[in-house]
Amino acid sequence: MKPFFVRMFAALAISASLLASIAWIEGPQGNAQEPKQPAVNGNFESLSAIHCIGCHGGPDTPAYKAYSQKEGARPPRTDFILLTEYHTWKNDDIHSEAHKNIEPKLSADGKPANLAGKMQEILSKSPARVGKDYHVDSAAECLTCHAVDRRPGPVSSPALAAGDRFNRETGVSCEACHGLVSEEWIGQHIQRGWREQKPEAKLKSGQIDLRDPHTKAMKCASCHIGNKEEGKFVTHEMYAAGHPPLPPFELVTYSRDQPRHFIANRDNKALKAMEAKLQANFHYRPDEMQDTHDFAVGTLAAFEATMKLLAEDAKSTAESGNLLDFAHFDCFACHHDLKIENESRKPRPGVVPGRPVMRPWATETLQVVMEPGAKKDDGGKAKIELKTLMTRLTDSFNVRPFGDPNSVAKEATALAKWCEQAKADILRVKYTREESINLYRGLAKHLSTLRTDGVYLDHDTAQQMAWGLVVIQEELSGLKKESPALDQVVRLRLRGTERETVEKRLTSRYEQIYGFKRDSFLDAADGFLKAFDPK
Amino acid sequence: MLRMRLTLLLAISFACAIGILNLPASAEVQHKSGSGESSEYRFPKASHTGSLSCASASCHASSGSVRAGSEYTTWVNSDPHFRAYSVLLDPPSRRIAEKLKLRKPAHESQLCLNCHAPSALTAPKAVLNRPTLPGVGCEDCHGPAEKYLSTHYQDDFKRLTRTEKAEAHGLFPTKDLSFRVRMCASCHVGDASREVNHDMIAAGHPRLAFEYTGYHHSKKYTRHWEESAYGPDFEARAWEIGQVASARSAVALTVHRAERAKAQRDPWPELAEYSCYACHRDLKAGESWAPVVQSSRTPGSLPWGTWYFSTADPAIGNVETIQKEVAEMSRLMENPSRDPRLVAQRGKQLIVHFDARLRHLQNSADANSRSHPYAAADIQKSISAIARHGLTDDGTKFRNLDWDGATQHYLAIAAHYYSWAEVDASSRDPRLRQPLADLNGLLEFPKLYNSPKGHDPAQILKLFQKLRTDTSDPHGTR
Repeated sequence: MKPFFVRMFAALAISASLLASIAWIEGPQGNAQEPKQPAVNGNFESLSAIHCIGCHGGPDTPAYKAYSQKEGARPPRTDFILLTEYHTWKNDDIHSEAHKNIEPKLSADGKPANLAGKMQEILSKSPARVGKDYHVDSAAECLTCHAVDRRPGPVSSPALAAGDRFNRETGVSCEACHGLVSEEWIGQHIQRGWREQKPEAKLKSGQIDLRDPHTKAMKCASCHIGNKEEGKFVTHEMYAAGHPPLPPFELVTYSRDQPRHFIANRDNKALKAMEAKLQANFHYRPDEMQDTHDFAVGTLAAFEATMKLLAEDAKSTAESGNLLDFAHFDCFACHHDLKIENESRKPRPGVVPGRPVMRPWATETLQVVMEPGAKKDDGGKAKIELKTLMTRLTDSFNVRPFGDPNSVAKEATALAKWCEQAKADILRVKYTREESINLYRGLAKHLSTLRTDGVYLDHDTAQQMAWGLVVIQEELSGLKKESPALDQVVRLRLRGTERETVEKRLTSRYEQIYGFKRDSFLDAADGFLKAFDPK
Repeated sequence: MLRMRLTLLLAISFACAIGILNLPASAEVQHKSGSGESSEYRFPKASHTGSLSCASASCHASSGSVRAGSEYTTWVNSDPHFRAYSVLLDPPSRRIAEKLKLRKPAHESQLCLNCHAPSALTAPKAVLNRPTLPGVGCEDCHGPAEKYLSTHYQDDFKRLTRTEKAEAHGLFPTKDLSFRVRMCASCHVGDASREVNHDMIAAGHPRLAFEYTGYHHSKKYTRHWEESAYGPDFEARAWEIGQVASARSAVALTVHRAERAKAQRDPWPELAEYSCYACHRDLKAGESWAPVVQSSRTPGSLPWGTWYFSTADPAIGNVETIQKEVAEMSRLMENPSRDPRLVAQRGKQLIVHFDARLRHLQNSADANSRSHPYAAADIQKSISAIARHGLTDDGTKFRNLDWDGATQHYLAIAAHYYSWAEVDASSRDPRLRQPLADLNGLLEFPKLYNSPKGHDPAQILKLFQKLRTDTSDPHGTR
């Protein structure tokens, strides 16, 4: 295999020559041939991210120059697509470090010198792996999220690690989210007619419809929450070996801080200029607060992913007779020093003291999103159902320590199914300014209920709520809102401007989590809400 | 006198030692299992006469303490067992009952009274609610007095063996250490009718972490007797017997829970049997035991029996079959849901082994403690073995332990060090004093915490390494 950079330059050259004669700049209408391949994930031969660089590589690539600065092009071509995507990913997006971060480093005396090294040392001593040659940077259960998976599927046999299944060279690169790049896609997506094609047609040639917030959120969630069908699941054993705890998920915050390598719909002049029929291809909903809509959809998707993962894993746990993996539980419900003052704390409603609880953050804002509001037509049916089903799930966790896997599987499956209807409900809502204000006020009201309830509130739930508040407030006010007081209690940005090591980020995250005080959060959130009154 | 370990014990156990120690109304409950072992006694049916019947000034209620005749006075004035009932009226107990959704308040609930005040179970309601109602009284540990009340001070009675006193008169053989510790354990560890499980702990009840020698040395506990049946090596004997008896009680409770686990409503696995601080700690760098421990567990799995079994090996005395059984049991309990019946089976085997060992240790104590007590060299050897047991062969790391195990090893060494002074003060190695005192400080919980917050496992390791080095070189030639 040629070194990566050799192939990259080869690809650059190919792309450049491809562009020189490119059809959709000058040529005739591209024909919208039906692609032959079926739209089954994983049936595509990956061509790797290097094929994207030629066009999406940023200002220094010939293709960018040829395309973006083409004389007479009005409006500028880069109104719709930036063509700097790879550049942004490479330089500013830590997805590009995803594999680098799992490469173990050893110091001169053979001791682990980074987190990956530490994890490798601990995991290889685990009874199941003793005597095996175990490397975290080539183990399938790590690579499903830390590389591009060319044949997505369960990690059935970790021993059959890596091989051809994974592309480890570029971390989590283009294909990990957009779909595996096929000849067909490459050929077609530069044709003039491509933008007119429906998302379903594009999917057939391999491109995943990331313009759809639900699809996008589920894609993010497959790693950031987990997806057993794709072999993506951070187990408690991995956490115990040192894997950082997965933070809560909020779609708009994650996209914003990735940072975006694309133009958000509301800023996309070319998209705004399109006819409504074509706009629908990109899930653009004019006259709507897009971020608020995405927040609502993303909140549901996070919950859906959580339930699907739980259902899948509980099913296999019930078969094996083991305890449910501790990774499904609220880390910090158990992992804290035992303060005597905690003894007078009110337990969470419905929870039996002493029985570990599920990670709670995905359910909290969902209740607000599912408030009847604009969904008046169903009389809040979905919310009532959610409450009933959640009570049943909570009970199946209460039955005994770490829950009864059989009933957990059953209830989580029911909730995953509920999500399908709930999604339709949310999509029916038009997030006008008025509706966004409703949701914003709903979150505010929920916070004040929490204050009077006095029940336990964990850091991650608080953080996810704060992210939602910030997203909606920024959209309503049109301003980037700085809120040092709230940011001090729960970090409002996923990471600072400087690139920090995993170890450093982990340390500061633990400081946040263990320094978290419920009342300080509620006060700071109050202050944040008071600073802006939406009209 | 070495008092250093006392404060630590208070930290881990005092809240829970506030009065718990009794035997059920029918003593058979505890001694049904096992077959024909020396600690099995058949008690006659007898009724309770009440603690007051012991309280005559000329019998057990004279002034002073420890002195013969002052037992009742000592109990009332400085034994937490006396106040075991009144704590049930305090706000924390009320909160626990609320969180557990008990139908009655703590001071009326059988769940609480079983240990805190067995006599209150049959007391008229008018008497309840009074903070002066005694908690764990004389007869809860010494047996119902009906049959011995009028005989036990007579000369004939004093000539009886302890088995005769027990079986004919119902006086519990508390001088038999293997019996005594298991009796303490019936509440302080738990048994088929009494337990403190994780639900109760989560509701606010202190964790139980019983270690016999530490408990009777607790600063807040004043003994009302002297160990006249044993010689100067009492402390070392009590540690050995205490360890095996506690482990025996703990595994019997596990068996009971495993057999009960079929009904889904009963908690299984019982989280109270696992290391509290493996889970309950802030996940910050620097406070973790992981870097200083060589572990054979799956990372992130539940470490079982860290309190009752981490020093069982040296107490058992290197009997390999038992050690293997203990290890197998721990492995099973790491992921115990597959088949609780298997756990019950294993546990029962282990009980048989423990009982045989207990019989052996008690017989040896009865025969030798006064006439041929352990010599200083024996004690020194035991300390060395315990120190080595806690660490890997090369001494660079702890072996499969965390705060629980480190504390048990510390308590074990401290008990022996104490015993050494009693046996032969002049030969006691002075180099061990400082590391033991330091360990006491390092293992203690900080104020306002119920867990070893902010402790420094690396420093704790260093002290154990020093103990190991010094005891493997008894004469200080290095």
